[in-house]
Amino acid sequence: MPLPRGFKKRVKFINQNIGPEKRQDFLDEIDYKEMYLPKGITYEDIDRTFIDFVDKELSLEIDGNLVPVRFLTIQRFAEFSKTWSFSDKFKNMKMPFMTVVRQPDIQVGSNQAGNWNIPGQRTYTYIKIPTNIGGRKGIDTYKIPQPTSVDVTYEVRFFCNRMKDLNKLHKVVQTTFNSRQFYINVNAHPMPIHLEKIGDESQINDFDKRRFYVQHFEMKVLGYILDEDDYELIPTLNRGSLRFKEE
Amino acid sequence: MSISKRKIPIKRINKFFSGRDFDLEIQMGREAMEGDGNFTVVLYRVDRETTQVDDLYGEASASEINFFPPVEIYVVPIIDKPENKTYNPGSMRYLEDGNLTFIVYSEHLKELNIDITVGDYIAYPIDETDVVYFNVTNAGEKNYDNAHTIMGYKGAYRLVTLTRMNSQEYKIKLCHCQEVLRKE
Repeated sequence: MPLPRGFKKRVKFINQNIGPEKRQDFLDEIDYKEMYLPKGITYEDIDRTFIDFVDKELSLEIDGNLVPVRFLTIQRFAEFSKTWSFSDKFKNMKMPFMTVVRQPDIQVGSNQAGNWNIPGQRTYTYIKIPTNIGGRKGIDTYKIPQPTSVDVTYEVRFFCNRMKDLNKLHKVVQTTFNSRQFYINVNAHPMPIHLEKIGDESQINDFDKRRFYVQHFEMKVLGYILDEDDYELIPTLNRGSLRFKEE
Repeated sequence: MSISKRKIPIKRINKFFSGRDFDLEIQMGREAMEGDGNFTVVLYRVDRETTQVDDLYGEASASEINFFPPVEIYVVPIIDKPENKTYNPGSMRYLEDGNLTFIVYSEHLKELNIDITVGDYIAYPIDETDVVYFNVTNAGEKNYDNAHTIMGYKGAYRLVTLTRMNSQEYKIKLCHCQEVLRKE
């Protein structure tokens, strides 16, 4: 009997692990390829990954141009350094554009569902690696501390002149967060972003002034930090080698 | 704003005031400002290309900010009175400088082939030995409102607003400013 057209004889299944195996997959990704320890995480890493997320996941094209995203801090000359290429003769940023501002206050984290760390800043065995130094077999124990949970909040603002452009961004944002959270990988550590609030700061009420739309998206990264300086490498078992000399 | 090189002749109020009158007004104003007033500040323009900034935050420490050669410019300065403030609620008192506002003729900047941009630094000698530093918050580029034109003819001068800088930003620059002032 002939097979119908388009019939696939071989279906390629993607073997996806579930349960503990899946967790091991995550751990394998977190580890350095050449080392046995996870890469540390700093606030800079979280900021950098969040900016990448806005740049890539919330990117928007309007009239054939990619909407510029600018991460702003307080140094005045730095602001102009970041915006001059999209500025007019009077050094004013041209719409549409997006800005990202991190709220300076980093809150105690809720990444571990509000659970606290074990007191004492202890380190815990992460992995035990067999060693062989000059024929002496042993085991090195790699220990790391518990990560410190932090909640980092970002304010993403979109400035534009048309409702049509606004709709485009809302579609992207709402789709990205339609399952409550979006995961970013900070140095391969997965961390969720929650869309906390959508606010409107549009300058539209005063008829006699310049009018434009400003949408404010408050996003919170439920992250953690991990200092590589706190890692410990402890040579534990070390089998002594006995040698006999025959006379 | 058009970037066209086409020049549009300004013919407004030409029964009473022309381009020559405009130039004359500026000359007289500058004579009063530079000849009589003789108030000067030193402008430090940030070289944004060579300044070493953090690739994430775009921030730079005092030693990483590079400047174009400092330029002395004639201005009419107005310094607001200092304010008594505290860092903590009710303790750690400090005296915060008032903002500096100055007027500078656009023609003067054009002659020196310089522009003032938000974020640039200004040194103002308060006496023979001390200099205070300010950071530009509004460079007054838009000077075509009535107040900044001469009889509504054309923008003549710029009103620049500055705020006092954090002390760790200007420590290294004190020597630069004194060199410029010593050259006089």
